[in-house]
Amino acid sequence: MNQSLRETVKRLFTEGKVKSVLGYREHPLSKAVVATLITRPEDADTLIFDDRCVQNLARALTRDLPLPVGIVVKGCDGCAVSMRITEGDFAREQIVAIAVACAGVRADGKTLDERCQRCEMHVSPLADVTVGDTSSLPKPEKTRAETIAKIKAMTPAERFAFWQKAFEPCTHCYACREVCPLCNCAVCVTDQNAPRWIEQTAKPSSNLMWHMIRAFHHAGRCVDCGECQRACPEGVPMHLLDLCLAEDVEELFDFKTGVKQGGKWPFLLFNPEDPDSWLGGPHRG
Amino acid sequence: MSDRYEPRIVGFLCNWCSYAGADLAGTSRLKVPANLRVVRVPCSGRINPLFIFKALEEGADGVMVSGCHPGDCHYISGNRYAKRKLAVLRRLLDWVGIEPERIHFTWLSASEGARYAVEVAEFVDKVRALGRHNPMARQGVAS
Amino acid sequence: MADGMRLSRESLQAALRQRGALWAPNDAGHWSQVEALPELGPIRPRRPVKDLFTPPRREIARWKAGAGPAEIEPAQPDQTPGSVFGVRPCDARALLLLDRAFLQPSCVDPHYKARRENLLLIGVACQPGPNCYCGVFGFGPDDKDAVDVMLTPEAGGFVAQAGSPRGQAFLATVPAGAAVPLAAPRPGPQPEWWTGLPDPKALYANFDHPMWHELGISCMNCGVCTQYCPTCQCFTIDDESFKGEIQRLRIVDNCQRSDFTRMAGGHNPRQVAASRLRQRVLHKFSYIPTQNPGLLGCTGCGRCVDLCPLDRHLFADVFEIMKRINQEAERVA
Repeated sequence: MNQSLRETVKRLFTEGKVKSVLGYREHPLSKAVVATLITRPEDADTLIFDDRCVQNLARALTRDLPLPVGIVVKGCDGCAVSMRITEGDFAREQIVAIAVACAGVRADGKTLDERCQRCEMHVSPLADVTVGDTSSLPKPEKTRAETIAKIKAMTPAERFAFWQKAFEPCTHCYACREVCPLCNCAVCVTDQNAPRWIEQTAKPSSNLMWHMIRAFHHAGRCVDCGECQRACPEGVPMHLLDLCLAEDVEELFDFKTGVKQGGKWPFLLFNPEDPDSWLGGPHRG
Repeated sequence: MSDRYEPRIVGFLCNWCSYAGADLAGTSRLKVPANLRVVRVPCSGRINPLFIFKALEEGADGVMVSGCHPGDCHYISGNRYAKRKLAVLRRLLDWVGIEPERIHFTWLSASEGARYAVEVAEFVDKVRALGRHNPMARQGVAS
Repeated sequence: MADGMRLSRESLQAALRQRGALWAPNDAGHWSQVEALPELGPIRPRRPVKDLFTPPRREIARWKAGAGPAEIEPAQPDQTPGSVFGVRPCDARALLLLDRAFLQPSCVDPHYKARRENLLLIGVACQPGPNCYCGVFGFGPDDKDAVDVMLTPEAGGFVAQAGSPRGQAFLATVPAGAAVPLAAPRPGPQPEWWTGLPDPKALYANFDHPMWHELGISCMNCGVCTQYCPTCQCFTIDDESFKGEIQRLRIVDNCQRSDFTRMAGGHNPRQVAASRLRQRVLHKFSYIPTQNPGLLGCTGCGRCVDLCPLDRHLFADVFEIMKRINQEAERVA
């Protein structure tokens, strides 16, 4: 895998298809896998891909990188890049997606990440080149519906109590926001202070406000890379809420993020036939 | 005065239809419950979900949103976008355990003053039935 | 070799309760008030002990909105006497640095001062984790210099030694156990590739080096490292209100936030991610040691390494930077 990845990247450089490549490297000292940006073909030999590559590099895509930029993408990462192109962050030709066959990652070094157990997207749908054997990738072990079934089964009061407890350790560090490839607002609502939508300190009301607005902003955009939850230093399961809404968006608008190129985010569209039942019943008049 | 629980409702009304409809209810001397505090917005499409979350957080017991009838939007289709956003917003409230019935959406034209009065009265009754407890409402500075 | 004093858990607890309130890390690794001495994990808790001295959210004053001049009630420093149990040497050393910020004679933080004066620091020797590097800073897991009392756990209790006159006085109040010889202090762990601390001046001289930008790509400026850092102390002031009741708060802030240096008018001298990463490294390893010889902005607790969502390693980065600087200096020479 590493060898063919490196050769592919070198070829992209020599063919002039990329000016830089975002990828993973093993830090020579700490041995941890970190993100790296290479701008010369000879540096391609530092690139690696294996099940320690837990990060979603799409968060590091910015327009000040030397463009076109190549990016090593797993399935979920590719969906995120695709979504960013859909939203107009980048032109299609500014990105060269280097899709790697991903059998899932292991953040703890041992067990398959929970997010990968339900993965249906082992290879990025956005792929300019594909590296690795895509023929023998695992099937999902469970579904999104199963993941959120326990929340669905709760009464409203139980749900409220569940989230209050889940959000309680939140310290408003916003690592979930920074790590998210699709948190790309120019100024985040939490950073706005006139009006102050979300108060800066951690307390029940501001925790709930932050996680609700975060989930809402990701409705129909979240690609289920699960980075928010992985990044959280306090282990807040905020990604569950994203999954709940993803289920709704798929049901309401038949939209699956990042999968189909050239699609549009459902909130930027409407259908005159959209039923009034969405709003809690038929509306007179 | 009865000591009946009077819910506090925030209403986001579109400038072009619903707000004018509310005006008409007033000039027609119709009786409209005083529970509704109206915020005039340029279009129902302008309503950011934050407005609704914030209203609930600051202690509103219910939020009423009203825009032009489909096809009548002053900005052609703002209300249709609003519908999609509010559909997901209701689902989100449900997921976090807040009754989606606290949000009421209705299409209301400038000529429907009478219906405005009815809609508000019905919604106030509905929220009153839901009870005093909006779980999102803050109780103090540090809550 | 000096002797330590054997203490049973019960007699220590009784003496600490006698002294006042008791704080210790809870199961989640947050500092909270407790009734009894908890069992500690082998390693430092998740949150640094600075939370008790300069908490993430602290009220400064409150008032009511209304007509006429507001009557401002300043918050009173918490003078509760008590002790903090389970302080690790890295966290205690960090307090020495916080003292420099909050107790400097020209501007004393009364809340911090009250806490420092009233709380006895009871250190407990720890078992360093894989990312602990106190050895880099010349102390080890049973260092007693920054705590009042240092305890080494043993079956049924502790062996205690005083780290300060205040600790000495406290130990005199505990029913004395047998004197036992103390083991030699253990050296602190350090990365096997580590060769020494960077030269603060050389780091600063490479302020504009392109390597900062190369490193910058691996960082997303989430600031988790700063929030869990025992020495990070930056704060901001904010008001929170509810129905006319207003609280002025001092809340935690950090240099990794994009708006940390944004000024009125919009100019932001640290516009890009790499410049904020550089600020963190230089502050810890260049500015602080330059201005306060003998002090460093890091105590090697390694929380930033443990918790970094992107698996960055502060020491590995600093080491790589130094290596680059040294190589280039050699080439020039």
